[in-house]
Amino acid sequence: MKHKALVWLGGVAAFTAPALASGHTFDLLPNLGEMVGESSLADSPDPREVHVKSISYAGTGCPAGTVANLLSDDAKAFTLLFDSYVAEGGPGIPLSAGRKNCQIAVDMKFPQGWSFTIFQVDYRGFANIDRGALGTQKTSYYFAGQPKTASLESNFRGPYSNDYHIRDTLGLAATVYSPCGVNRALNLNTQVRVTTSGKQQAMMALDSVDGQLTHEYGLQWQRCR
Amino acid sequence: MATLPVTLLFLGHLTLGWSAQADRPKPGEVFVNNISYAGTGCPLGSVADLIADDGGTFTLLFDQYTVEAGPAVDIRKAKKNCRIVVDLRIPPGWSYTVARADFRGFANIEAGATGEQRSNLYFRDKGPVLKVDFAGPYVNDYLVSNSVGKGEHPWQKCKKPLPLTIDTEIVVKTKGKKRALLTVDSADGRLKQHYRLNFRKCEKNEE
Repeated sequence: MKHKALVWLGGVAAFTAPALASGHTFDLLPNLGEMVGESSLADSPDPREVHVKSISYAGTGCPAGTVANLLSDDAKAFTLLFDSYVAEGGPGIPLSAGRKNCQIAVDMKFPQGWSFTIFQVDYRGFANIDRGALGTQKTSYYFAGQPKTASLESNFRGPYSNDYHIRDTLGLAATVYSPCGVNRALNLNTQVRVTTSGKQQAMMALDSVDGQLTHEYGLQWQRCR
Repeated sequence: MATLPVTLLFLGHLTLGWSAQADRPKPGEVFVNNISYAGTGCPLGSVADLIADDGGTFTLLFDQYTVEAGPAVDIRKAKKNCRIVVDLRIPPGWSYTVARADFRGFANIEAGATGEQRSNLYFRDKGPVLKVDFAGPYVNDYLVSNSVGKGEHPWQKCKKPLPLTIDTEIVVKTKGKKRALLTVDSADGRLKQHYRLNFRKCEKNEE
């Protein structure tokens, strides 16, 4: 199966940070054609619908013991809150402090069928960037075991000192996500990074990551072999 | 919306036709039973691991697999390693296994400095080490893929399957005031069972 990063429909991206550079809606899939349908909601995981089974995470920005995590009752949303997910750069600050990451493996249950899921991820944090310096928030998305990786990146050019909110919207189809009954975890390698020179200072702090699944039904067929 | 009636029609069809599929190892297929790891880059408590329900893939995420060099940085931080041992369940008989690993990370290497990522996957005898060099200036994420089994046909022992071993190492080298940072954020493995080529059957008394 060939994967392409594509913009899927319009109007599902939302940014609140003025410094955002690039579009934040994409699709890990080939063109799915026309998608129509109604989303359905439930209070507890419906075995016929996509839901999150578990979340694993690790990284220099979220070492063990520095994260609070929460999975909603219906298993369609999760939140991670960070204690020490901060990148900083400036005179005398080592390179390792200038880039922090937290990779999140979202193990989802995808029932087989003609389904399409919108996975929306919200990143909230704070950036304080000197003039001439640069702050970057980036997430690479991929399925476990597959080299194909899609990335979304936002750059904050100093001077910038404000909270930020970035929303990534992904389209996932069951035929790719769960090919013939095999589920593969979706990995989000999140990172914040600062680039400084001379006496410039910069810091990027990621406070929270919220993920939310919305199930839609569409028209797509694939025969299992 | 003009297409809504069509959608509802399919919704009804879907609800009736849905089958719940269990995600378990398929009979006769290789799968991951357990993963263990050790090394300066992956001390106990610094790794999150995930094995897919069907045992076909696994993921390791690292808190501390980072090397760094530069002025005032402890020299011991310039090199780290992690050995991953994957305990496999392999059906005996007419097949061999191909294992692939994807290593993802980040490199920030200043001009004049260098970094290297090494990996080696093997079942029994250590094979060739894949070395990937990062020459500064380089600032970017990276992906390195390595595999074992293709063309080598590492037959599993019939009664006691050998584990898959993945040796990894990252090193940075600098001079003077140059700085370098190299990380491994994750390691993903995938297994595939292959048939047909070079058939070999286990003998009754073979270990």
